[in-house]
Amino acid sequence: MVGVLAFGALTATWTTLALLSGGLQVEPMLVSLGLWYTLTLFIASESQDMAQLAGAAVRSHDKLAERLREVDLARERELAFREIHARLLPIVDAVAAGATMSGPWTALAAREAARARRLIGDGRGGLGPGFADLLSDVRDTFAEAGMAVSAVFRILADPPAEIGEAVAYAVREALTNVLKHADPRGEVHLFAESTGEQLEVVVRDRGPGFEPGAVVPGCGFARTYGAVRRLGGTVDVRSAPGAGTKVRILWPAAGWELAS
Amino acid sequence: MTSLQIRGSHRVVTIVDDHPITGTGIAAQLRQQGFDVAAVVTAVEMLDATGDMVVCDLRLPGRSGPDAVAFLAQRGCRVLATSGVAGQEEILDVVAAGACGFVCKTAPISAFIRAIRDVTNYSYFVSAGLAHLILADAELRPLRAGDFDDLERATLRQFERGDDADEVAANLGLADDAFTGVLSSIWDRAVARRARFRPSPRERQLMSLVAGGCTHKEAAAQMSIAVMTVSGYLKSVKEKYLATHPHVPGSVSPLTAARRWAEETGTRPIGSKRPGAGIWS
Repeated sequence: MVGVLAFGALTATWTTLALLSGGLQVEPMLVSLGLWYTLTLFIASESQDMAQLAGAAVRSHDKLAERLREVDLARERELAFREIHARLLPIVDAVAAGATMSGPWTALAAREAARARRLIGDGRGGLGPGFADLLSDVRDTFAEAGMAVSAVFRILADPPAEIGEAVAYAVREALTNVLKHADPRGEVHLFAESTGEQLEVVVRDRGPGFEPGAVVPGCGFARTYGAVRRLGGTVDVRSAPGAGTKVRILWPAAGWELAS
Repeated sequence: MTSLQIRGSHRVVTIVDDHPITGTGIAAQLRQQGFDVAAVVTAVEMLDATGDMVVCDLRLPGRSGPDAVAFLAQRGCRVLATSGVAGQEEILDVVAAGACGFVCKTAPISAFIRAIRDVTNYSYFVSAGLAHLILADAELRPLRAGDFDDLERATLRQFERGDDADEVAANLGLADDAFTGVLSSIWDRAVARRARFRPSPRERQLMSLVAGGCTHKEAAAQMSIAVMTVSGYLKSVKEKYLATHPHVPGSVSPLTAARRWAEETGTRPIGSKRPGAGIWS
């Protein structure tokens, strides 16, 4: 502010003096010298202020970044803990206790090794969770909830990731419906077959079933199954009172016999 | 489908389980459903009636699963095997030993009831899991001639999807007798292929010895053979193991292969109860 006022006063004095004396004299020269000097001082002080502001901004940004790093780190630690505690340790414990690594154990160990590799960013674990992993996770979730869900998987190759995820959500939706509407202790069977170019998934329960015409399709039917349909698949729901329910997911929709 | 109609007269069931609590638990639930549970026994030798429907646990002291099933089948019983721990290989061997079906012990009682009903109506019970095992075994041990035809494959593939016997028969448009014929043919082929890549009696004996922790030398002493012969047997076991386990790397040691196979088939280590008890004995 002082700089601006001094600059204004000096400019005025210089102009007056230059107008009064017709030619170049000593006084205007001196004044202009002073003018340029103050102008330089003014610019210098202003840039110093700006530098300070910028410094403060950088510092607060650093602080924020540090906080974010901490949050990330905590999340990473939690993930690692869960991964080690719930998935790897049981296998290591079993080996330590002298278990022979037979069929199911070897398969489980291979799956968890691939998962752990993905987690630490090792490319050998594959890109994302495989279709079988996605479905196993869904199955395990419901089995832990006490559902007697048997499963048969024949996954020769994974479908495109988008389809795989949409189908896994559709299976979750179908099993949730079993939990809600059928006997949660009753038999449920999950079948999945994928060649990479084609997949078929069946969720079959032996609960009370329903009259298809009398039930208003819910949100899950419209959105979760809708996602499968948008990606080119079909979801066929069949039921009758007393006959249980059969949800059959096919992708792509073309080339299947829907008869059975 | 929830109404479990039994067309035949097989409502009399006997249960063999060495854990009396498990046996009586299943018995109580079956009685509730209107079955006549004749007896709950803890060993196959305690059974006096023949021709009964028997639900038999596969972990009985002194007998391997297939051994127990074969004992009952020879006495004319219709055997439904059950276990909570049996592996795939053991389940298939139990079928080869004469079981009409397998029910997982953790399955709800409705699964047992359906199994009894299907064995009564169609002579066999094919769960989705067993259908899958039978199809997978057909890939590993193809028969040299006369393997599954299209109808038999289609039948198994429908069972895999969770349909029950009545539904599969209806889907395929088969009458009861014709459908029983298809199942019987599936059984014959499933049993026949178990003979492929099967360890010899001496190899089985060795497998149970090494699974029990014997070294080459100890096993050789027990079997009264040379250590070199033990190595030869183990190599042969490994070859058969690799032939039936395509995902196992060829670098697996013969000893590991023998131990794993013993584990998978339920060939128990030699203990005090019955020396040399193997699943194929």
